[in-house]
Amino acid sequence: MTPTYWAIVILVLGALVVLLFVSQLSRRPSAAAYLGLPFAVVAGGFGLQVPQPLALAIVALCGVCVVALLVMPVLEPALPLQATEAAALLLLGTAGAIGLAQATDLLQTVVGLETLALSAVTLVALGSGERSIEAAFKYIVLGAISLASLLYGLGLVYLGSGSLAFPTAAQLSASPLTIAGVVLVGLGIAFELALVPLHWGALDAYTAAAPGLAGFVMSASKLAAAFALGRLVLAAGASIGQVFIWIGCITIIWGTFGAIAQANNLRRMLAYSAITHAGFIGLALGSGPNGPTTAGFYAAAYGSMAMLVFAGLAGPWAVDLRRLGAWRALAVGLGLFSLAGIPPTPGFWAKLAVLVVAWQAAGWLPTLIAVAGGVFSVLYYLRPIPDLFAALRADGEQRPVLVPGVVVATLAVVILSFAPGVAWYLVRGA
Amino acid sequence: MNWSLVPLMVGSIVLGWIGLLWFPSLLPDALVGPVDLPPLLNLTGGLAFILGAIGFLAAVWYVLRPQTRLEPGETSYRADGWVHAIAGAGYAVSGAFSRAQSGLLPTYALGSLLGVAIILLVRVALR
Repeated sequence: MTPTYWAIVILVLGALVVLLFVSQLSRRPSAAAYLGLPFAVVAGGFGLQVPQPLALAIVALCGVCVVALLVMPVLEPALPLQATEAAALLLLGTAGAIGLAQATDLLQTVVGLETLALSAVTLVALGSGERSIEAAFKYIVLGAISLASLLYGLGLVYLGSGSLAFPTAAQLSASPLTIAGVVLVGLGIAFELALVPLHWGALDAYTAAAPGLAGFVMSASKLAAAFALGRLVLAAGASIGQVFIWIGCITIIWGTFGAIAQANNLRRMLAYSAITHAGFIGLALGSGPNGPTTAGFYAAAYGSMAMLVFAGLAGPWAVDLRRLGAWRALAVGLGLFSLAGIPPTPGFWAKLAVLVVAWQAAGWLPTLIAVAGGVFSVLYYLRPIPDLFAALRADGEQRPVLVPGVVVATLAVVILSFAPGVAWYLVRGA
Repeated sequence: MNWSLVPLMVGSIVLGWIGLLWFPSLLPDALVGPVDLPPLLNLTGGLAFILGAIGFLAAVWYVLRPQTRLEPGETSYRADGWVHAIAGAGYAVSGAFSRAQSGLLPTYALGSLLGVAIILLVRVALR
């Protein structure tokens, strides 16, 4: 059994172990999280033994899972009785994400995607209030539409090529059925990435879920979908890559304009910005032979930044940024600066890499759209900074204790800021 | 007009023109292959930092002068009319994009299906 399958098995085993203690741990989110933590760490260790580019996918996914588990203790008001289930779903969702990222044929893609999607939907539904349940319902209905697209495309690919493997460029040119099938398969996977026109449910789900869990859903789905679509694009060639270039550009435009309008709703702004980042990943995917590895690097960098922001926001005090406390305010500020692409943060290195491959393979117009998206992102990402400054200066307010998840996510962002080559090595090799 | 950024702007334009004489020889593969990471401390970055720092220190001195102290609620930056017009147009477009996310599931489903159909038809038609 390969290290990839060992990682999946360990994560599923971890989910089962956590679920065995549901009744004992339901009111103790810390214990549930720390029970599942070693499984995520060990699975991440197996990722280091996997050849590139899958090594980055497994390490990054397990890292996202670790941070989400470490944040769980402060989510108790949002998860009054379902902490154990949430921990199990985090592990199971990570296993599904790895399954999707490593998929080498269409059936594995379906299994991995649905394991991830169902875990993500349930995590969204576990948030407090009716909004989260409504958002989860919309997410699962729209997910069903994308699954229908994926399965219909799978059928067309099989009809056209006679195989369930990712179709090659030669097979695409031989049959219009195969082209139609690959486009539908790509769009089905693109739902996880939240590319336009399949982003609708993701926006409401990202907004309504509990902060740490929203960060996991956003990051893990993008990581897994980026690697799966990368394999699809590398097999199918430029004919499908062009589709993702233009879908990516439209997604960047949509997400940027939508985020600018969110003057008073930080969570909604972060959800729209996630759409913008999905657009960057989509643009990278279609940008030549170096595009898929760039998309994987971008997704990993995005995962670290998003988890930092959501780990900092987790907890009942997140409604008012001015009460975050100095350390959390610094962490959230670092995350926002990184998401805006300000050097030397990981967001800068990721955007630079996408711009380079887009210039080489996609031309001046997609590159210009990406540049504009990056520049305008500063407008909405730095809007909360005055409130974060107020949190730094607040005296006499109750200051929340810094949770380990914030520390781990901060370390990841700082390491990727000054040594992005670590992630490049995991995705591209020496 | 953000006057604190003027030194950086002037410096980048002037040094950019001067740099055209010798810069291309330093970046032969910038747009062809992978770009090497620059060192943490380098001359170009140092010059940019100094130019930016000059501008911002000048702005700090200007704002903190006794005769320019602001009343509470007053801002030091007042946008011109054309700036307001462009910003208003941008916010109008962004508001339209935001309102498209109405929260209605049938709208979302229709949008998804229409989008998939359009992308599929365009791609197959351009085969």
